[in-house]
Amino acid sequence: MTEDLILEDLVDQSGLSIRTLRYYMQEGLLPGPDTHGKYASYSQYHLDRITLIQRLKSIHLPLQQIRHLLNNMTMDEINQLLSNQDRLSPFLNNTEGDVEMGSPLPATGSNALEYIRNLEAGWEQIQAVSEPISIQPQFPMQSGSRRSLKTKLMGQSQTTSNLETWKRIVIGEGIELNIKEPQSADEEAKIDKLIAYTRKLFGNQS
Amino acid sequence: MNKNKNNNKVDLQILADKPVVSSEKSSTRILEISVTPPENDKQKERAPLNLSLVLDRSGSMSGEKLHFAKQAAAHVVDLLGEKDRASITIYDNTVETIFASEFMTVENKKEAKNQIHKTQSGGSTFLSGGWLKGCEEVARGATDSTINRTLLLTDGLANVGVRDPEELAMHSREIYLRGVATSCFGVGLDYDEHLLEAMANAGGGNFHFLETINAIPKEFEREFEELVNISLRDTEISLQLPMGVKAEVSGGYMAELSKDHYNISLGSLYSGKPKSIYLKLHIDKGLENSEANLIVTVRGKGDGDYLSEDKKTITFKYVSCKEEKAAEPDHQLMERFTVVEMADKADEALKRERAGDRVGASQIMSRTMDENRMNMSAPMIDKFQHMSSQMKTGLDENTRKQYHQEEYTNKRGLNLIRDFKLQMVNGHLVTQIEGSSVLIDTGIPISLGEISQWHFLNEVHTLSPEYMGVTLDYISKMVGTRVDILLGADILKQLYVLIDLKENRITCSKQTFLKAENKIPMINFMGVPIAKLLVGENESEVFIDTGAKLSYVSHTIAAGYTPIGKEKDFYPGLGEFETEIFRIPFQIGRIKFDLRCGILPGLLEKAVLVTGKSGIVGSELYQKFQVELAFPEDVMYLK
Repeated sequence: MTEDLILEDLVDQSGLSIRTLRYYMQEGLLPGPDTHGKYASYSQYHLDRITLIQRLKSIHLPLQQIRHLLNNMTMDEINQLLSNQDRLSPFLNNTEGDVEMGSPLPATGSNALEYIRNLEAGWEQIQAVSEPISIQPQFPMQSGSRRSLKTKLMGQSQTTSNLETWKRIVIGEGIELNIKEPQSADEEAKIDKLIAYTRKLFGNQS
Repeated sequence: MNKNKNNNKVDLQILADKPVVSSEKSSTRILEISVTPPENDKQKERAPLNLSLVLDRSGSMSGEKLHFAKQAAAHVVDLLGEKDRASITIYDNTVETIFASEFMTVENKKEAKNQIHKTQSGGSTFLSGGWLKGCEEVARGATDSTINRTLLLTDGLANVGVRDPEELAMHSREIYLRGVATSCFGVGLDYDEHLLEAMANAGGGNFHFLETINAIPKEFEREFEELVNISLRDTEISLQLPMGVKAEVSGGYMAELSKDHYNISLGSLYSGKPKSIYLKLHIDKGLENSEANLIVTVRGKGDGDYLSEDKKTITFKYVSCKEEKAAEPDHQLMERFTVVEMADKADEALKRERAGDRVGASQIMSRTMDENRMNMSAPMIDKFQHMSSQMKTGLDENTRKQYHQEEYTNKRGLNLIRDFKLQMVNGHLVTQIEGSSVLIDTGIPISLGEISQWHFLNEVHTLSPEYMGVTLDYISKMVGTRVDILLGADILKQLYVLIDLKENRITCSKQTFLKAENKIPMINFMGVPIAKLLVGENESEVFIDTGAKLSYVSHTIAAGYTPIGKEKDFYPGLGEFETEIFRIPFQIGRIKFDLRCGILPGLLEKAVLVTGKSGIVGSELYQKFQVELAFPEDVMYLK
């Protein structure tokens, strides 16, 4: 479709408000209009890009990461990322608004745990997929190349260790148990038993 | 109100500003929906709590802040029972769970506190990581019957990880919908109040502003007290909207439109404590119908996951445009709605002001005030005019946060409680309020200050430069420290004031909090409080004067006692004087105590005696007891 669109057309066809669309433009997610003619005009490209933003938002990506992906990845790479994400995220089927009055809220605990772990894993996945295109002169590839990329995605220089989270459990004076997270529910149950046993063994001294 | 209300069931009431809508053009109606949750059965065991305490230990927390944060976390651990669970997560640029979720047995409590006390300050602020880890710990320990909440404390801007308020609020919402709520505690002046409020609103929890560092444990205790009083969880209000009706909730509540249902998330409600929310309804002009019916349902999880529900219908009759206009609105409802509406707009203006758009912020305030003036009380108009004029020149960080907190409590219908650090300076109660040194003085009927307008506790107060010829310079000299404001009986009489010298804290609120056993009636006498008690052997009425460093009795009462020394004091209009000191026994109810008392100079004693009062109880009382001066109830509580 090559037909010129006005802002109201974008609103009608995307279902988003003018305020949201302006916000996307202001945040550099969406290019501004073509202002060569009499009116500011938009194209199919804008609509495709809005669809992509919405799709990336639906997998709970922060806007800063969406902007980064849109500006640094090809369409194919983004599609690959999204298909990987679909396999990964069971919560994608539970879109906003599905929790209706009258239907019981999701079971406590397990669903929250799944969401949190998917969120953490989802971020890891995004970073892994986008790694090959990340070579930038200001981020030299070294043995820690993935870290450099992560750093860039998270927008900080201190975040490398954040993405691999370890839980430190102090058993007693000078005795610690370190567990990489997340673990499966089975492993968690075993770990709980291990903690209880070791604490008992060392008489909870600390 | 429904007189047959069943206390075991949630109760729903709906009111509208007018019962009619126009058949000729679209109308806007204001709806007040009030939900009263069931009362908890005091005989039954409360629902177990499942908490995660997430503490910021970034570099800026070092020193007193971290000390009180640790004390607060340890205090919460102490308050928990064996059936409750808790975990402790600390974060700077890394996240560490120092105590994984466990039942709070005696041994585990000891271990949790041990770990808390070992915490030291570190680097940056990875708020999203710390919070998410806390939520994960709560999720691990959650069951159908537990009350699950992450308590996130921070003093700074998130500078590592996800920092976008919209993103964090979205995840907070999603995690809340999956059973884990979030409450946020902002300490000091450097955090982003809009981010923390957004996370708490979306996460079905509370937002707390902690300007006074030594109040951190108290604020955690308040959150704990609310948690143990929850009687309805995951509360949702659903409006079934007929064709041509749109709804918009005020007060920042999370709401979603799902097909023809407008669902509003209220979070947790507290035993028997009603909650009101306000909506704007946009109703299209009538077609062939003579009335529009709106079905409202409230539903939440009660005791033991039992589903509690109530449903009501409100009907709007279609009438001519003229009749709709002529219908008398419910003015009281409109006043209540306007408090929330103004708070929403003030919040928007505060965001603008923070972003540097002072003119835009001030314009929002002026426009909203023009639109709502007819439903605003005079003190409310004064306050917003004051706020608007301050916005024009820019707010300092403290004032921004004060206003934000006030409007948060206004839109949520919460009690505004303010804690301040209190010190006894040469026998005078002196506190720090927003950078000003404030003398608490119930003995003077007016308040003094060098500024004429002072914003304090949701109102703008007028201050006088002097009282009976006495200026603040003179008072400062007599007290022995700089006094910027004298908080007199005119402002105090509207408040509940809790003086706790043991904790070096004064708490001010418009609702009571202590209600201790020892209740003493007070009478307002010419603007100054008086109380009846036993002085020596005689039942006497005495002035309750927080501004007096010494207590005083008449010379006839003192005559029976031996002087123990001499001391200097001063009185406005009289200047400095010296008196002999006696140790006089007092009795209030069953409580007996001694106070060091002087004898007022002749003229002043005559002035006191002529009123029929026998003396003055000064500030020494507050060194002996925790005292709540509940002025609106004319009662004093001792603990």
